[in-house]
Amino acid sequence: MKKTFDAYREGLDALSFSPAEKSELAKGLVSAASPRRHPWAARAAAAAGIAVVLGAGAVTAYATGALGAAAEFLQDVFGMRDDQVEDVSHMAGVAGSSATDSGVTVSVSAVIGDDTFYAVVYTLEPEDPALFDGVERFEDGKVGLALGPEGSFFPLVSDSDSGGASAYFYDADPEDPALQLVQLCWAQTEGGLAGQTAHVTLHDLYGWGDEGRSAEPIAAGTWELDVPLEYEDTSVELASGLETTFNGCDVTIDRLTLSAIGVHVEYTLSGDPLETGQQGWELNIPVVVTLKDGPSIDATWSGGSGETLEAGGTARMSKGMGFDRIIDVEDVASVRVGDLWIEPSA
Amino acid sequence: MRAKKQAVRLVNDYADLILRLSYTYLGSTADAEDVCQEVLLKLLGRSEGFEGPEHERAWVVRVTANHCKDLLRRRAARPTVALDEAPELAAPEACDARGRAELVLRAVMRLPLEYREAIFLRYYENYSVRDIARACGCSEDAAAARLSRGRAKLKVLLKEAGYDEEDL
Repeated sequence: MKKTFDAYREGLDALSFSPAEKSELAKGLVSAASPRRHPWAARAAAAAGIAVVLGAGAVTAYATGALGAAAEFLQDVFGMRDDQVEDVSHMAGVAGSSATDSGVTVSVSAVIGDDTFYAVVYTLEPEDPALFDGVERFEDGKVGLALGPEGSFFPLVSDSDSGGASAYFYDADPEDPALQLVQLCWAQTEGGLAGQTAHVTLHDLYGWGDEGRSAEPIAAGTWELDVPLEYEDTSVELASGLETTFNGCDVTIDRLTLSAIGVHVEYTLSGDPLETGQQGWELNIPVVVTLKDGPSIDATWSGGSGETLEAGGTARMSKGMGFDRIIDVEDVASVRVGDLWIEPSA
Repeated sequence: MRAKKQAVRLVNDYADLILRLSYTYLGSTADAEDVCQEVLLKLLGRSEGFEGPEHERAWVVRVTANHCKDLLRRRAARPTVALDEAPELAAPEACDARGRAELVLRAVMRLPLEYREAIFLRYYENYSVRDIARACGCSEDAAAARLSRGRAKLKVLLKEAGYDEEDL
């Protein structure tokens, strides 16, 4: 009955969705699966039953209901596997802090971090859906927007003695007019970052392209937001008091911590170095995180802060790196510091 | 946005398969479209990974079949036109390839559900008898019998409509 079943398959093949129907079906699925298309900040406030007015145009609300959405933004940023998203949704914080100026509402959509590193995703929602239409789009999903030179650029924690950030804009959903700003930050504080509140002031939005920042801002305004660092700190302390050597000096590891998003080591150098030609050599001790499935994350050149080692003296140093991915600490085979290989499971 | 890309992939990979399998069970494209959305949504929201594309496809087939069977069970109490009571096969006016395909599909749709299910899995999804047995929750002997009886009954139905293998 070969011909019969050839005809049967042909008959079934005629039952199909058109490309337009498939496109609609995909849109409907995303819409049904994601809470992000809803006005989630308002929904989150209602769900939690609290809304703390911080000042004109700024409201902070907390709720677990939006954690899935936060995890989805973080999936965009860190490229997580689908099976990691649920774990991350428990680690992430959602702070519905938002501020509106010049027809653009900036909201904090997701926060994740440890005691040194944190990542914040903001959503920029324009009242005019065409406001960002002319902004350059790049193949990797990033978009050509830049902040003005004023403002704080990254969220500052009040008692932090040092910190920094890298940032970029991207488009989480080309179907909506909103864009996202990602800030990957670090800050050193007494007692760690988790549970603290950072404050950020974003000032003016410019286009960005080959010739740098556009002459005129796309939106001239100031957006002040509090960013509660209310995430689950996954840091584990791997070592304290271990000793090794680097560049002829004795090294004592005062504290080595590893989390889902970064590695951080504080150490004390003592003795006389072999080479002192390179300024800041004290920070160049090898730090490498090796995962069980093979790849390594090299934090040797990540930079940090510390004292200059005077001949015969001691210098306290601190260095670390925020990862470009979310890792499971249990997936780490070893962390190398100098000539020591430290296994998390040991 | 990963969710959107994932949704587009799932729709491209499975929407038509779910539509065809659901139609095989339910005999209605409108109902099949509803099932399609339900199954894809379930797939999109699934947090566990798959061992590979074949595992994913088998999951889609199994979940679609279960969803359709649930629907049929829920509807059992409601008066509907049974497929066996559907209009007799009518010879297509022009006996072109499309007309022949339509005729055979309608004939298959007049078979009892368990025969239609086995025929779909065997002749559309290329399942082995063992896999059919696993998917249908029956023994391999029962699966082979369903295929054999389905083929025999299909021949009769087509003959009644004035067609035999040579005409196809």
